[in-house]
Order: sequence, then C-alpha cells, then structure tokens
Amino acid sequence: MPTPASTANDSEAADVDLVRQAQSGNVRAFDQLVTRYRGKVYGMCYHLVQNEQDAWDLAQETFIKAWRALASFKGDSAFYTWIYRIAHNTGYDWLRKKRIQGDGEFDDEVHREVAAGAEAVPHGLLRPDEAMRDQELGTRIKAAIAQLPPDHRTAILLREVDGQSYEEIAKIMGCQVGTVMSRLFYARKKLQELLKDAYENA
Amino acid sequence: MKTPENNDTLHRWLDGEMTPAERTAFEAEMQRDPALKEEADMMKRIGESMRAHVSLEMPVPHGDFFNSQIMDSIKQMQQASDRAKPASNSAFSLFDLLRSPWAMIATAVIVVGGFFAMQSGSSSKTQVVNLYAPNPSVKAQITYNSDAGATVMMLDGLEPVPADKPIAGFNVHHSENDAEMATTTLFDENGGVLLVMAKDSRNQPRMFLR
Repeated sequence: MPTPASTANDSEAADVDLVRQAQSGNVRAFDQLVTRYRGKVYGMCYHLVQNEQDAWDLAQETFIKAWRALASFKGDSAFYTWIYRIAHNTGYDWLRKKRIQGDGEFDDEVHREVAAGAEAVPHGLLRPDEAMRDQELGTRIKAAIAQLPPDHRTAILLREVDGQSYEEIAKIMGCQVGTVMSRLFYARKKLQELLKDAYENA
Repeated sequence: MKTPENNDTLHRWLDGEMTPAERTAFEAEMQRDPALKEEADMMKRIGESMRAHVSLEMPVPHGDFFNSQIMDSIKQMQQASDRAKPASNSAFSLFDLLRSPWAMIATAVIVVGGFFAMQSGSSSKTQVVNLYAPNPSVKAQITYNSDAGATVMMLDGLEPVPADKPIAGFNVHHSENDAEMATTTLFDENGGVLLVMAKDSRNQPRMFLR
C-alpha cells in the first residue's frame, strides 16, 4: 500500500512529466493538468471572491495565464504551488479592481450563501442532536471565515485546511514567511473572537 | 507587521513548526499557565472544525465545459500566434476555424467551406484571400468563370472516390457563425440547414447533416 508521502511524490513526478509535455506544446497534457488542479484552483478562487460565477471565470483565467507562462516554469517549486500563486494573484487583482470600482468588496458585513462543494463532508455518524449542533457550528465557521480580509482568509485556509507550510504559503501569496505568520495570527484571533461563544457553549 | 512573541510561539506550536525541544518547553509552559492552555485548546478546536466543515478543493460546475473553454482559448492564442508570424498568411476566419480543431475533417468539408465563403455576399465581388487544405498533397485553385457567372474550385491530388460510394452535392448559399455556441451552420439557397459544425465537450469536431 502506498504511503501518503510516496503518493505525493508520485503525484509530483506525474506533474513534472505532464508539465514537460505541455511545455513542448502538448495541449492534451495541459488539459490533464487542468483536470487535476481545477478543483483546487476553483476552490481557492471561490474562497477569495466568495462568488461561484466569478470564481469559475477566475479559475479559467488562471489556467490560461498558466499556459502563457508555462515556458517560465522551471520546476523550482511544485506545480500546484505555482498554479496556486497564479490563482491567488488573479483573484487578488480582481478584488483590487472591484474595490477601486466601489462594488463593496471587502465588506465584512456581506454574507453570501455557501456554494455547493465548499463544505467538507462530515465524517462519521452523529446523533441527530449532535448532527444539528455540528451543522450549526459549520455554518458559524464558514460565516466567520467569510468575514476575514481576503489575504487572512487565504492564509488560514492554506494552513489549516490544505496543510501548507509557512514557506509554501509565502511562495503562493508572494510574501515573506513573517507576513504569513502575522496573517495567521490575526486570522486566528478574529476567528477566536467571532466563535468564542460557540465553543464556550459547546 | 510584527507578531507578538508569545502568540508567535503558540501559532508555531499549533502549526507543528517547532523543533522537538521547543515543543517540549512550550507544552511545559502551558501546564503552568491555564489561560495559555485554554487559548491553545480553543484555537486547536477551531482548526479541527475548519478541517471538518470547509474544503479548499471544490467540484467545478460543468467541469468538461470548463476544460473545453480553456482549450478553445489556447487554440485561439495559437492560431493568432501562427497568423502573426508571416504577414502574408492572413486567411478567412472560417479557414482559421477549420485549421486546427477541424484537422480531422475531410478535405471535402474544407472545399465546402471555401465555396460558401465565396458565395456569402455574392451580390458583390468576392475575393478569396487564401486557401487552406489540411492534406499538403492536395493543390487547390480558384478561378472565376464569367460565362457561367460562378467561381470554380479545382482540387488536384484527391484520392479517387470508390465507385460504390454515393456522392451528394450541395449548393452552400451562406453560413452563420455562433460564437457563443461555437458552431458554424451552412445554409442552402432556401435558408435550409445543410450542415452544422460544432465541437463536443472534449473539443472533438462533430457534424450534423440535414
């Protein structure tokens, strides 16, 4: 049975092979990379912009930019780190433009419906009362995350949900490790403040 | 921005970024400081709840369409890049459309495409800018016959059609491109549809004949 580490290594090796083929003009190889990473890229864009349609468009833009820039990818980092970074920059530029246009982006009071698939599948069977409490907690958590500034939201999701290291998050977000730690600190403090009662009552 | 040192330690502990020695020291400190332990426990529970309730990877709605749109954009970029290389290589948009995604379509379809291109706007003079045949052994020539009042296309190098194969001829009057649906429809002189050319979700050519 393959270990998680060997599976990750195999996956990276397969990425390297597909990237090499795509760099030599093989569109089919790039199509496979898109299929492999579209869920993660779309999810990242969704969590950044909190809107399904815009996330869909931004995820497409990410892959088109990636194709254009493929020749510059030297393999210094993993392909997913590279594509995440493009997704982050694409989404962040979009937010910046939207803010300049005064469309109310970064408005902490805006609560949107959570897209299908944004929720992790609960594991294990819970009693009905536990299931209801768990569901309520999930709703509270998602609402609290949506209230974080986009860069804090990205940092905490990459760390807590995706399990990325500080260094990887710094590469993806194009900032220093210290900045990542600072963003994580403020994101956690804000979540703690917003969710305090939920945990105290639990 | 600076992170308060005490919390920097707490966050590094939460994120598993401590050396074994640092970890042991911090856990001992938590035993001595109940407030610190309480904060650490709560933050740990928030992290666990996030992992249980939030997913960074999400299913992309209409995933096949998502991919095919990207592939279309890439092909358009490649075509634009190809066109930009030699200045004399400008061509009809229909031929551009046919060039790469339609490479599997027989030469006959290209001929039909070329003919319709000449017919469209036939009330005025039509100029053929370029011709494209995917099979390099096929030579295409176009002349205008004023006696017949028609444009004649000559194709040399086509393989002979077996005698037992039925052949149908169509008079293509005009065509319409639908960018949104990514289709090209060929019409006869009565406005009837002769052929619809499209691509499926895997970007493969599809044709629908009348």
